[in-house]
Amino acid sequence: MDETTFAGLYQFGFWVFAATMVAGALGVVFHRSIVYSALMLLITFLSIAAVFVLLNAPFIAAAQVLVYAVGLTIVLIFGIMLTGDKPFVDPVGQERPNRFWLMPAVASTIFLGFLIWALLYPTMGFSGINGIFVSLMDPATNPATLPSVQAISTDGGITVIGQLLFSRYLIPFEVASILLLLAMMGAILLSKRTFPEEEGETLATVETIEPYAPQVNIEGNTPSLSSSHSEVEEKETLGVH
Amino acid sequence: MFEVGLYHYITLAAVLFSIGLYGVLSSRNAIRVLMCIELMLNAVNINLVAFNNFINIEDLGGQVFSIFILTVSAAEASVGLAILIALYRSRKSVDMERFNLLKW
Repeated sequence: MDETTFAGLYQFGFWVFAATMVAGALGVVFHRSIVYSALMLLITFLSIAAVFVLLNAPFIAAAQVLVYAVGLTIVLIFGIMLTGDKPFVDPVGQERPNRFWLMPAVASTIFLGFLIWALLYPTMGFSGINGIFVSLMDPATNPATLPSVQAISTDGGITVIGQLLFSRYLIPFEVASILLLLAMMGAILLSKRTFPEEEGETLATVETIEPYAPQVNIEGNTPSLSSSHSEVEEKETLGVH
Repeated sequence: MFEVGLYHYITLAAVLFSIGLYGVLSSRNAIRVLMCIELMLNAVNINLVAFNNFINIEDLGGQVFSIFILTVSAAEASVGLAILIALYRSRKSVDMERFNLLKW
């Protein structure tokens, strides 16, 4: 495949995946059924993974598919199924729209306009403040407009990423592991179901019962009643002797 | 202008971030708010990987940072869903307008 065909395919892929990404994101926000918006989120995540492939990051693309498109979407769908909400959903299952949509729309439009302006500003000829952006955005001075032509390595950069994770970014790596452990413990603690009446019972029983009595109770609950009783009797006789 | 460069990727990430921002500010369903936060984090990831690709392709620090953001967003989603389920137990709803216990 020659260079121009590759470049054409690259640009075609970028526009296709950008369009599906933006359409999926708009579907996440504007679809009235929350399950469909979760599926739109899946489409958006897959498009972002394709854009990562275009950006010379195949490992990040694979991690994106594994973590976001598979794991996170399933967790979110579990969350949707666990929280079936009646009060603000009409009988067809579609949400009633929010009353307050004007202020968020104005705020996000101003934010997007500011971002686009900040991107356009150095290329308009005002080469004053941030000169690095001038050299980056100008196609004449920045030759790296087609990244996939110059691939990083044959393994997709996995070797370099692994070496970086265990040498320069070792401390953030360990902190990330601690963060994952804390998040898991916090999620278990927060979503643990607590029964107030049962808690009162167990507290009362723990306070009133002798130290050896719960063992007898636990063994008495097992199906093999006779053997446990005989063991208890044996223990008692041993204790007497 | 039609040659795809860094500018296009950053603009795409800005559009995605703004859509996520609008969704966070305007959604009534709390799970949709979580989804829009994930959209915003993904926009940040696109920015990191794009800058890494166009500035210094030999040093993959941007990709490593996007892995960290991926980790943090996974932790955030799990804790956020746990908070939502706990809220659903107490309020019997995930409507954002019903979470008004601290409203004056």
